[in-house]
Amino acid sequence: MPREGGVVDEQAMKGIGRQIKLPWSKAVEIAAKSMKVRMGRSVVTTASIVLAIAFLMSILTGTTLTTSLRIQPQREILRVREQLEQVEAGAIAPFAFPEGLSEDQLSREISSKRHRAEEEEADPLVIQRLFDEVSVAEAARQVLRADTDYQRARAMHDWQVSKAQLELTNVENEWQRLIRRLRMEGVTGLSVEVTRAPPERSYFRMLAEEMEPRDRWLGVVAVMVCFVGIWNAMLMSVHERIREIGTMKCLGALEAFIIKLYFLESSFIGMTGTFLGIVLGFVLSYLRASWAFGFGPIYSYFDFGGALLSAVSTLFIGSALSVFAAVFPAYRAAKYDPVVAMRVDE
Amino acid sequence: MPDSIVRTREVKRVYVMGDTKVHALRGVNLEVYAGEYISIMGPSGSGKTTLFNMIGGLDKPSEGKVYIDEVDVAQLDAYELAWLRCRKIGYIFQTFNIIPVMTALENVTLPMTFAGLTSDEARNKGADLLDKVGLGDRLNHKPFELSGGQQQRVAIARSMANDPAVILADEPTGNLDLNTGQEIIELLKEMNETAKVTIITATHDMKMLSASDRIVWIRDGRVDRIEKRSDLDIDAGKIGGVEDA
Repeated sequence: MPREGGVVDEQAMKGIGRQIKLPWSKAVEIAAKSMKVRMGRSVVTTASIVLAIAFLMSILTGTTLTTSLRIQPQREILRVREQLEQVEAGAIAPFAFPEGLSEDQLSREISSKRHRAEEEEADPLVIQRLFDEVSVAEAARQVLRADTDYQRARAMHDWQVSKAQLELTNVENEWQRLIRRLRMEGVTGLSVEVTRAPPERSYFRMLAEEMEPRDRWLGVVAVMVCFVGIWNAMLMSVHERIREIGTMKCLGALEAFIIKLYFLESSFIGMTGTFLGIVLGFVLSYLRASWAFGFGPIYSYFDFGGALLSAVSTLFIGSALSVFAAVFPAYRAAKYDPVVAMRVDE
Repeated sequence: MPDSIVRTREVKRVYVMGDTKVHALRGVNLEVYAGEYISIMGPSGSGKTTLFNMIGGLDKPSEGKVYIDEVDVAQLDAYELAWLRCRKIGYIFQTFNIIPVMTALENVTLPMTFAGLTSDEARNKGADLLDKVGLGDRLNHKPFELSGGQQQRVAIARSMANDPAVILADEPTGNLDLNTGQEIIELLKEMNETAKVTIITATHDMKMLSASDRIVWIRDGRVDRIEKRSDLDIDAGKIGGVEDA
């Protein structure tokens, strides 16, 4: 009787059944075993995928980084500038006045900073910052000296304004330093003056617009290398195992089972390689950028959410490619005529 | 009259190689009965292997019919053919074809897995079969740790995995030395007698003659003659000088 319900035809009456499909667990077991046995080759294949994907990921991370560094500080400047305007208009008072300050302390701070500003010759940014700090301390001294509530309120307002001004100076100075480093790294088209808000756009749109043509091309090449690598590895694997496949078919394996084996092998190699490649590519390009631009700015401006998006899409691309690259070899393996397969000399 | 397990009717097989047609089989009529031990003999290029592949459902005839257990093989779809290979037929090859990445036991249990046995059932049955072929103490050895004769014993245990009706052995002693070959022939004969499984071998090996119930001589793609062992016993000394198994 047929094992599976359905049409009971003449053949079935004579006791021919239909071969059952094997569970995935068995296919996983066999695929894992054959990968383990061919560990050396599996590792080489995985390594080539790791490198290709690491390359792709470093291009994506690099673009994300430079774009973040160009755009986020500009946003920050605009935000702080707006804050300053609101403080000046008396709409907000974002800073808490420090308790326990004495006038003596402030006077000493003011004279020492003035002195340092006069000594400092090299960096105008440092001088600017020292002057702003002096203004903050002077404003604080006015607050302490205030006799009436009215005077105190006015002095407090002045202090808030000078504090906001100091913050603006800080972010603008940081921006100028960053521009210097970016120019050293070959990023051009940046101006010191931040006049208008950078465009609000989705991460992928940003990638598409900001990626340099050369990087785009290299990214495509990396993906192709990955694809061809897996394809080649799978073809080799099929060729090596022609007799094994023939034997399995003689023992009752369905074509679907053989195809499953190859898909599992390529997906596993592909996903492992892709995952490692993403980690490697991200870590290396992040560290390199931190080395070039400083750990602080990278950490504060880097678009981690965007990087996560590119990691996820790279994982998707790498895995899809590895499955896709296995289609032809797996099909070829499954279609091998057992008679032909058995003739192959090892 | 015993049941026929394999029957061929006017089987022809033509291979097209470029412009030339090679007639490997030119019309073979053969009937194999259940429980028989039959040897197909013939020189290289006689069509012996082609006929063997037909009987095993590994190849389809250009013309004519092959019936296995009264089922026309040409009518079967891929699922039914796989089922047939899995449960009705056990294969033994000259080159053993043990799957190198698996242990002896895993090789024997693989067809059981294909047949849907649970792993516990398969393990017990596989261990029994390996015990029967004399490898009870080598269950977890990998093929490269086994000698040729031992590998062929694993293959015999594997061919018996799903209690097939027929075992097809293609030159089972071709890669083995004289004594080991003799042991393998004896083991096949033992399986034939105890498990009542039909055995069909394609062979050059004259040692096989003494174990066979009938010998089918193939020449130029046709059955040249069929001999029974009873007719042959007289000549046994001349043919191989091998004692009756």
